[in-house]
Amino acid sequence: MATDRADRAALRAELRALLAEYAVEAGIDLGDGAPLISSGILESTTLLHVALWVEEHLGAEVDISAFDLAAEWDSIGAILDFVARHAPATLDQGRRAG
Amino acid sequence: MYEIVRYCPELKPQVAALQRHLWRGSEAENRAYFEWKYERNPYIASPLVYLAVCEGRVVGMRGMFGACWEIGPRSERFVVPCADDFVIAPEHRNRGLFGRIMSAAWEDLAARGHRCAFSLSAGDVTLAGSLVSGWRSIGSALEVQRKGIPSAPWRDRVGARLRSMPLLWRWADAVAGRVDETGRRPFRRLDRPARRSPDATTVWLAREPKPTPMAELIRRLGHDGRVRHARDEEYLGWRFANPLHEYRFLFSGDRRMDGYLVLQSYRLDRSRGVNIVDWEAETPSVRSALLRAALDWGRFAEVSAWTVTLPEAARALLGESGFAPATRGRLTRRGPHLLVRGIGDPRSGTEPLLGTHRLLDVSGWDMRMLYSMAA
Repeated sequence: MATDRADRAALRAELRALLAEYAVEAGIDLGDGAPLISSGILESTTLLHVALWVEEHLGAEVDISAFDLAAEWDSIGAILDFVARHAPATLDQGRRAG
Repeated sequence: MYEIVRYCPELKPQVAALQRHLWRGSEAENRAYFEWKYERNPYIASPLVYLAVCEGRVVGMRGMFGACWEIGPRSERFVVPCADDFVIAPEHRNRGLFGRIMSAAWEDLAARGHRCAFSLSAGDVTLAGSLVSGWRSIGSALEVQRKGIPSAPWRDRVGARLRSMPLLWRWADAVAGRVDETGRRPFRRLDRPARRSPDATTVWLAREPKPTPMAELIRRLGHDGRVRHARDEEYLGWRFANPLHEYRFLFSGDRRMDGYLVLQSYRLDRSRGVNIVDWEAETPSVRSALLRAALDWGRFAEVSAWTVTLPEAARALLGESGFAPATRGRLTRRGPHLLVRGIGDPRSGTEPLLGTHRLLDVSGWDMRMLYSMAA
């Protein structure tokens, strides 16, 4: 459990760094629950980078058209939940997420 | 800081300049493309182009070009705006401009009576941005590709020998057929004079479309009710005048056209290869002869086609001819996505309709690359 928390913290830090690099102006709330898509902070190019980041961490292709992207990736917490749900250890069916 | 406005002719120079972030080429070429696509569009006379303006400068745009689709047993026709040409100037990205431009666009399109919109060749960035703003994916284009011209064994042997010889080594790759084709005219082999003669074969090559017999053939072949673009004489005449693309037409039939295959390449980026953008035939043998002629005569370094709604026999023919699934985008690995979106009616966010017809099932479509601006 402690390892899970450490992993999530590491992923959170990575994701925040990614968003800071591609999308977010200084001073914008990057808390776990802060809305990213519905607030317009995350635009298409950054979403693409986030999608590739998720794929890299899942080690699998993600079909972003197969789920409600706006709902499932609207915050850092939601994206981390998505990764946790689809991580290889929790995948029962193949390696395809989404 | 930003104002969202509809296009007016006074802004054309700025729009042409902004488009250069999308397409290579000069402002003059971009202007010609804009004029063809939006100002000479046969279906929507007044350009539906939405612009973000910052301190008097155009910094973002989204174009919706007019297209006429037919559907159902009575081939009902609908004019549908198709989203394309999305660009934000680099220094204005990630500031919520895409959403603001599109909100203004949806409001205007709804007021004009449009009930749905299509986006027909969404790549990685467009797909990601669209899926979070109400668009639904019907699926990918299932692009297939045939690469390279296999070199004959004798060429490999001669090439290997030349490689070890003084002075002559520099021609080794050319002899072995391994010269990088990038940047060379994709139609240079197809255009050799011998290919132009209609006498030697029932399949013959032309540089210009023949809208009247092509439209007649399409009418004769009939419509099975799936969603497709209306391909009449007016459409075909306009469609192949795209100034950024080059087309070649393989026709079959002597007195009466019984098939055609249209090839397209990009004037501004020759490295992108050749596409088969439309392909019609009265019989399987004509279909096969057209493809064989295109491949044998053209000997393209790279040729691609969309197969998502192609009949099984045609897919098989492509497979037998060496086409294999293409790998393009990072998220759109099986080719661009086809997207639809409802306008105006909140319920259409979940079920976009064309008239009373549902759109989300790909089996209800007859989708060709020609209908998208990829072609």
